[in-house]
Amino acid sequence: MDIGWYAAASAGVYHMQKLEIQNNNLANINTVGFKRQILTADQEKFDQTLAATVASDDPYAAADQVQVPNVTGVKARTDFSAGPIKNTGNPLDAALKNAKDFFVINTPQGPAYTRAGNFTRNANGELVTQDGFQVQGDGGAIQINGPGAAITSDGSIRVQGQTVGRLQIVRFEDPSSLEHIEGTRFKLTSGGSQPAQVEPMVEPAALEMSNVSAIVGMADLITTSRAFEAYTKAATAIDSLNTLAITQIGRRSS
Amino acid sequence: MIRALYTSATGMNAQETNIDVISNNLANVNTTGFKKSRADFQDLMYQYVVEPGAPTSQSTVNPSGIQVGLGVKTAAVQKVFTQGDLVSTGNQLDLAIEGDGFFQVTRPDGTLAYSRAGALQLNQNGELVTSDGYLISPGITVPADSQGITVGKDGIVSVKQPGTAVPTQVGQITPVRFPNNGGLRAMGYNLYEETQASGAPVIGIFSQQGFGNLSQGFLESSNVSVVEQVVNMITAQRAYEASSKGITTADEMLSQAINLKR
Repeated sequence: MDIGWYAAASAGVYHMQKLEIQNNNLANINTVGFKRQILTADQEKFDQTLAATVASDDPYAAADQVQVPNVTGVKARTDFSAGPIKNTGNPLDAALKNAKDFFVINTPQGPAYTRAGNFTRNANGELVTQDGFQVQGDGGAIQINGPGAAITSDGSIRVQGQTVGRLQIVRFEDPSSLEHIEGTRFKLTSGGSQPAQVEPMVEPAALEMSNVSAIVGMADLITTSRAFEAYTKAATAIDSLNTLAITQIGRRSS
Repeated sequence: MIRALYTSATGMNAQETNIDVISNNLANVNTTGFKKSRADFQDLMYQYVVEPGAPTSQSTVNPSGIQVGLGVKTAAVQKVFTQGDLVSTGNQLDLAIEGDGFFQVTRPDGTLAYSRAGALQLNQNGELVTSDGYLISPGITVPADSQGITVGKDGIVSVKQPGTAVPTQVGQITPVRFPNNGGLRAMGYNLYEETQASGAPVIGIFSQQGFGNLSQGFLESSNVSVVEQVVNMITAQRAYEASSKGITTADEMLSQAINLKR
């Protein structure tokens, strides 16, 4: 087959993958502490795709076909820029001021990191996430007994004027070593460098909203679907050429 | 490809829940003792399309892999127990809790429920009841010949009877609190029920050990702010719209892919 066909197909698959990631971003446009993902490749344009080649995995490929055009270097990265901060007035909500800082959550699989500061208490009075995982304080779980608990700007939790614990906040100088796990949490990839513990800088009674912007999300959606359309058109055109070649060239006059 | 459709569907589902919660809040903007709810969302699990560490050549590996998220879920709809404004009514049986604590209410089946709505009344036996006729626990009976009822900040109920100069104490309204108010189950009718998540109730005395003061002649209004809810409604609607566009786009792309074969 024409190498153009392979190029169009591979670019089409890449744009479908792109749409999956963009739709996940849009689904989480209202999720507290969500960080959007971006899919990139070495070739964002069709001529680049045509020029790029990878080795064919077909061992019987003819000598001129051992290289097929393909979109290469597909990478998903997470945009860790800060989302807008929304005041909620809820005393157990907290937003982190530095975009590289994270709350530490104890999960059965080990420590997880999150930017979502919508905390609550469980039946034992411990500070937990909305799905019930303990929030790590300076000395283990944070125990809140009594009414009127509030998180303050230095990350300490005060109950009736008494400090009962302090949030443990860590900073990732390079957050790209984090991978997504469910629950708007992240975990350290194997081999990623451990974060440093920092002084908490907290916006009390506020939440960091999703960093997905509706405008950018819609623009991305349009570019992706139009690009996909272009590749399917290219594929159709190549297909028509092949049809012509098969049916017209070498037609015997009867 | 189908993944993208389902991902967007989770987004629409979540925002539907969000609108349900906001509508209920707005409907209860004038309900005494009502506490607003908030829907909290979390992203769903991520699927690896390319594992991190997958070899990209003989000597190099993919450092981060490609993770595709599968959408969003409603993690919790939590009640937000911030104080509602106190409104003066002048009615001697209207009681508002200023601070922490719940009234204890005995339901007809004998079990206890908890409430912040202090619009109390007397029934035919002179017992203190809620506006639904449920008894306040511990029960307090006001004698028929009482001329005035006084409720102190500490919940002590006294009545003035004819012929005596000193008010007679007839009982004390006691509050409870929970380790986790947010874990209470809202039963409707301004009542809450204890759950495993809320923890067991702790009984105390008003204006002691961190419990709030009881204010006679006041009602605690709903803590719903109309402006806040309408703003939330706008963002929820737009988020719903964005996910629906995601579905349309996925559908268009699928149809184009299918039309490759003529």
